[in-house]
Amino acid sequence: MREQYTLEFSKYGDIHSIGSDQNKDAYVVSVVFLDDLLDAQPKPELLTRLSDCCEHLIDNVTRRCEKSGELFIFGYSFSDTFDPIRNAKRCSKKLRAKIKFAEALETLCERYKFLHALDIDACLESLGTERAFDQRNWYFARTRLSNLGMEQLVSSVHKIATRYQNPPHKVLVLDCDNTLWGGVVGEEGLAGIQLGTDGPGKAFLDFQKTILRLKDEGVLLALSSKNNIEDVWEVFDKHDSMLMKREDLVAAKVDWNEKSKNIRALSEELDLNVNSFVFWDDNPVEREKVRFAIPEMLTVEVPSEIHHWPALLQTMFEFARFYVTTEDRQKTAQYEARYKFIESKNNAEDEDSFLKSIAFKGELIELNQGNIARAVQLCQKTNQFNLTTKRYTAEQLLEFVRYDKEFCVLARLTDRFADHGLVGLVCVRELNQQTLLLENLLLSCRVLGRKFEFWIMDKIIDLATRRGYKQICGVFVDSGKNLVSKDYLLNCDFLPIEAEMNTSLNVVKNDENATMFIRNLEPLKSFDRGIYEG
Amino acid sequence: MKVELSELKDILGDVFSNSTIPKNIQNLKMGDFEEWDSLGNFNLLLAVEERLSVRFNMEAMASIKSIQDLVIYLESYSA
Repeated sequence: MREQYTLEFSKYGDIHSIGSDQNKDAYVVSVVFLDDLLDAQPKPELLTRLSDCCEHLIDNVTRRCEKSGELFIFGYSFSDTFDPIRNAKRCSKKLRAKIKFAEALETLCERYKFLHALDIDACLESLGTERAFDQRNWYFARTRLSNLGMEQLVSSVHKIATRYQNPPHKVLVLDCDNTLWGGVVGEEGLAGIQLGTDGPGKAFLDFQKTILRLKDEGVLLALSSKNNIEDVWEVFDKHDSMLMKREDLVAAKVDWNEKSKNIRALSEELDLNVNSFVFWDDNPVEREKVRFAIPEMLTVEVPSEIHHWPALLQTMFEFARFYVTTEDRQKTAQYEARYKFIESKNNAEDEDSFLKSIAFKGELIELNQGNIARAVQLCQKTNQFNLTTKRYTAEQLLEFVRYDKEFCVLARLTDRFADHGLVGLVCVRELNQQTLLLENLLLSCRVLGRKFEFWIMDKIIDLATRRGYKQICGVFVDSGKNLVSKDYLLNCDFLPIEAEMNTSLNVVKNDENATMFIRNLEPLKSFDRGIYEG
Repeated sequence: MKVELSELKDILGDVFSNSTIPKNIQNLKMGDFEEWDSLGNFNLLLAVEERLSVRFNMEAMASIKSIQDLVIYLESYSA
């Protein structure tokens, strides 16, 4: 991940230079203060000048996006002097222009996935204009911001760039007593706990609302609580004001064991690394113990006053995401399905006949505007079953499709337990007339154990045959986490290529950790097509 | 206010993190290392403001260009 940013301010009012900066080692961030771009002349009328200026800006951002597919952050400020008299009867012209501009920018952000908008006025709001701006700095060094304002701006930029590179956390682990409700249910009973519409009970209710909002965005919820489980379920099932329901949870560890032990077990059962977990508990002793035992997990240092919680959770960077995909919304259901699947599998005797009873259905879907966000997300998040761990951008993925629309496809899996959604991605390109190069293949780990990866390979072989190739070449890049995908190539009858053969195939190996594999177009040896429908 | 050279030295180290700060900083001035150009000078003054809770006026911003200037200004500074 890059650690540097080129912060490019609207250079002394030159509107055309915006976005022209190209720096290979740093992200480019353009920051525009509209006042720098508006001419001082009183004519034509302000609103006309504003809208001219905004049009120019949108043109420039578009041009930049057409030129480079690198992460680009565009910050804009329409900062306005507030006058209660002048603004009492009508909306200011700047505000009017700003809303129009923000909408145009949003359309661009939709089109270019690497473009991100940053509303600087909103970003600095918590500091206040007086602290965030420093007129002296403007006259002395042509920067409008104070040191503090600059820090705030850079921190927002850093958050965007970090999230662009790293996926959000996946699981929120919650305590119960004094976290989901006030009081201790084991002592005070169902009627004694605080949860409802007044006072502190209202704050707990709002906290639950925020938790459920995160769940809708794809965060998995789990309980880790020292309690009698019957007491906890009584609150979940019978308390009138309880918003969270049992089915909102992906798992519950309610017993008297050490929480750290339970959380480790949870991580194994869900097959998710604890470093994607966030732990929330009101009790500082429990927090300290968990933090000590699982340092790689984020244990939130929660404020002692509950009224801070809803806003704190709502704005937590760890869970913030640019957009919510349909897969995100179905997350909890999918992981629950995983549990049921593992349970049935443990009961069945012969694996293939068991798999046939699940009614699997695979589908390869071409890349389009509606699913490209998911494709990029899969590239970001998948670490284990990922041949090269290359984090493709939307632009890079579209490159494959330009050559042949079947050269980059998403894989969707359904079975009688669930629609697992888009869980895999395949990228291929022509290496030479004889050879199709499997440039990357990745699959979400939660669907492993269904032979879906073999179904996908079967389809790749089919594609290669239809396009007239004679062989398929595969790349594996060792990331330290993805050995499972090397075994996969071997299980798909690929053979490692010797060095000299490698050169004859014209393979340019950029990465010293890369190994090349090859196979002909014979059907897979160890895959029974009957497992899959159609 | 009283000025500790060691404190200024710490600030120099933070602002010009890619340069080696000499032991004796008393005679250092803008231009003595690559990072300390006019933008570097601006960053240095902002860092001093933050760390020592002082405020430079426009005139001071324009004229302070060495450790000596800085020390003279700070010694006569009153909030």
